[in-house]
Amino acid sequence: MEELLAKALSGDKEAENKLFEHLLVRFGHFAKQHIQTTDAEDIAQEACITVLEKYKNEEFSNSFQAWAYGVLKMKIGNYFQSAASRRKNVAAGQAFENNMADISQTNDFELKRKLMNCLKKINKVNSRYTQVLNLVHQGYKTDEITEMLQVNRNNYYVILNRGRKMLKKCLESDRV
Amino acid sequence: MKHCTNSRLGSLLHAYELNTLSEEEIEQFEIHLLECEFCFAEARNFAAESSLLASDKAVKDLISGLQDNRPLEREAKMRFWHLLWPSEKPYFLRPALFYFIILLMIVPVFRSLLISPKQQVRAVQVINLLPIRSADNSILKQSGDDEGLINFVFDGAEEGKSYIVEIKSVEGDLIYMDSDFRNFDSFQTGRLVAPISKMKVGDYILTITDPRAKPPYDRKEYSFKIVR
Repeated sequence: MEELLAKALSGDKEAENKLFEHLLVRFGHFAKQHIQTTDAEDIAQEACITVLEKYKNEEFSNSFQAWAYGVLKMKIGNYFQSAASRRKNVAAGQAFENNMADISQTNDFELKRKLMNCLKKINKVNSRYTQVLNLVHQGYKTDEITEMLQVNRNNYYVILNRGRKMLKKCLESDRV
Repeated sequence: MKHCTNSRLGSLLHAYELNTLSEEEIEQFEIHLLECEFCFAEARNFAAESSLLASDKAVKDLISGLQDNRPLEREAKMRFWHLLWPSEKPYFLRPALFYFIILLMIVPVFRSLLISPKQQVRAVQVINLLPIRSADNSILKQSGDDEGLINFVFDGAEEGKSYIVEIKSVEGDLIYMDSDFRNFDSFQTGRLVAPISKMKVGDYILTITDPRAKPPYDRKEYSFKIVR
């Protein structure tokens, strides 16, 4: 990325396009993580355009990544602040939940079935992972979970990543 | 890229996918995702699964159900062990101990069943001895590991009382001696198992002595022969 940025700053159009694509994919992912509506893609695109418009004149105090990310955060913040989007969010809130459920019931049915089977298998060999997931679903914060499980923060992340690894392997090979 | 560029931030991956990070951590991790191809590819490829794990109702219900069953399983295990080892009862009334004793008793039975019949049964030859002065010598034939059951009648012998039995060769060598022989039955017949396979071929004299009787009624001699 640093290389792309350097080339783009020196006027390489192709590098600039690649940089745009690089950011767009990632911003889209982040925006979905924060907003969880179809507006996420629009916001990601807006943020990318702003970055491309301003990056040549900007002096990055920290790093380009941090600055670009700041632009996206600002766009997401604006989205939540704007009354229109909030109304839309509130009105569409329940509909979105249902929509997501419908999507997962239709498109991801097979994936969901496999995922649930794998979770059952994992629970037999590594109950810690499902225990953590259950606590997360119940709304406990990381600190509370680590206190309940009597593990430190690093071990908590290790439990999660180990569970994720097992889940991934199970989804690929149907074995834990 | 095969590896994460920052293992500390990389460890936050699944926590990020499950939306359990603080605002500050999310910011750090997302900036890391802008740089780290590996972590971004992981997060992107696992996005559908992460979404199901984080927000799908059926998945949440399943996980909750798996946790609910756990105390029941533990309780069932505890009940089972309590049945076997009820701590409130004295040791000798605890069923586990009883089963253990039964097991100890059963094991030798099974072991004996495993031993082949050939090993258990040994051929026994039986001879009835005659007094030494009779014309015929009783004959035992030596073959393999056989033992000989020697029957002899001793007038006045009483069941359960102690007698002295000796087997000597005709040359006078002592082959066998039992100073507490009690194998007489109510018919004054004594029974002795002799290790004939370990004895040499030849003539032998068996002497039975009653330590309580007076001569000449205190002893009687019998002869027998071992042949090949």
